[in-house]
Amino acid sequence: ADENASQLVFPKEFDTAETLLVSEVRLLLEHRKEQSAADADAPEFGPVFNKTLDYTQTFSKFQSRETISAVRSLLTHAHLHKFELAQLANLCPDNAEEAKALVPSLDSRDDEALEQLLDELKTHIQSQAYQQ
Amino acid sequence: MFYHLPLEHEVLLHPKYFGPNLLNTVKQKLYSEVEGTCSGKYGFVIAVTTIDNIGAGAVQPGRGFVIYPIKYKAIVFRPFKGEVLDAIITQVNKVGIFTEIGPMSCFISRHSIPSDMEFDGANPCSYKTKDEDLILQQGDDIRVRIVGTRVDAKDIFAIGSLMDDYLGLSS
Repeated sequence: ADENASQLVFPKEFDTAETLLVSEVRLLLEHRKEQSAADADAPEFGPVFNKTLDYTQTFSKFQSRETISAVRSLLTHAHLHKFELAQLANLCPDNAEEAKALVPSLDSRDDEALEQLLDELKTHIQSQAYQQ
Repeated sequence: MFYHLPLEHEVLLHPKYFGPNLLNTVKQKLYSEVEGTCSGKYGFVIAVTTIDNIGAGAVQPGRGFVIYPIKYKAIVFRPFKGEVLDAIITQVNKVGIFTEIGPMSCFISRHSIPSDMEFDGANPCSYKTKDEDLILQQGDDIRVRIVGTRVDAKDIFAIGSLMDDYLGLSS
């Protein structure tokens, strides 16, 4: 198929789909697990669910709903493609050079504006140390 | 990349389930029939999030079964060429590094690992730079770029590379 994330070329099935942050998937799966635990009849989860839950717990950068919401809001205002938005939140690059290396479609963006965005992203991560 | 996708599925219901618990049975069957599956088109279906619509059941001519067309939304994981993902090393050997990214396996060939890293067969196996500044071994978190995917009947397998800047061991 003609797909290339570096150039933001995706199959049309994904045109109307939202990208999800690793942190959001973690919250959704944990919630689902809790619901299932409360239901005695519910079957066990398979390896796909469990491996994904483990993975999202390992790599989730943001812990609370509030932080995730704030991060989404911050990145949405930067007018990024939904793929770029999720990549920045998932990978949290340190600076513009790293961001452009990891997400090549950002190449034409202004470095200063990108650095500012990344700095704000970093403060959200750091502020989590002070949350409960 | 994780996506929230609207999808469709048909549940075939045997008459033994006709009764007050019918819709609940249809929902349970949806969960067990789609969750954990994988296709080349949509990737791995991790979990159903909402059931948007369960259509009117159509009795199949000649059989007693009823088909329920269902519209639902699910979390899916679909890798794309060119995407950078976090991965966990599961095995290291002289042909390369095997990793897992959520439900998916990703293999990084020896030739896609920077040439300044050499294979060290001593237990535990690893790839390391001469000065031992960087060591990649089982259990490590690394960033990998997907350079290709192989789709089986029910599985997606990815090929990755560590050759670009900022890939490899996460700081």
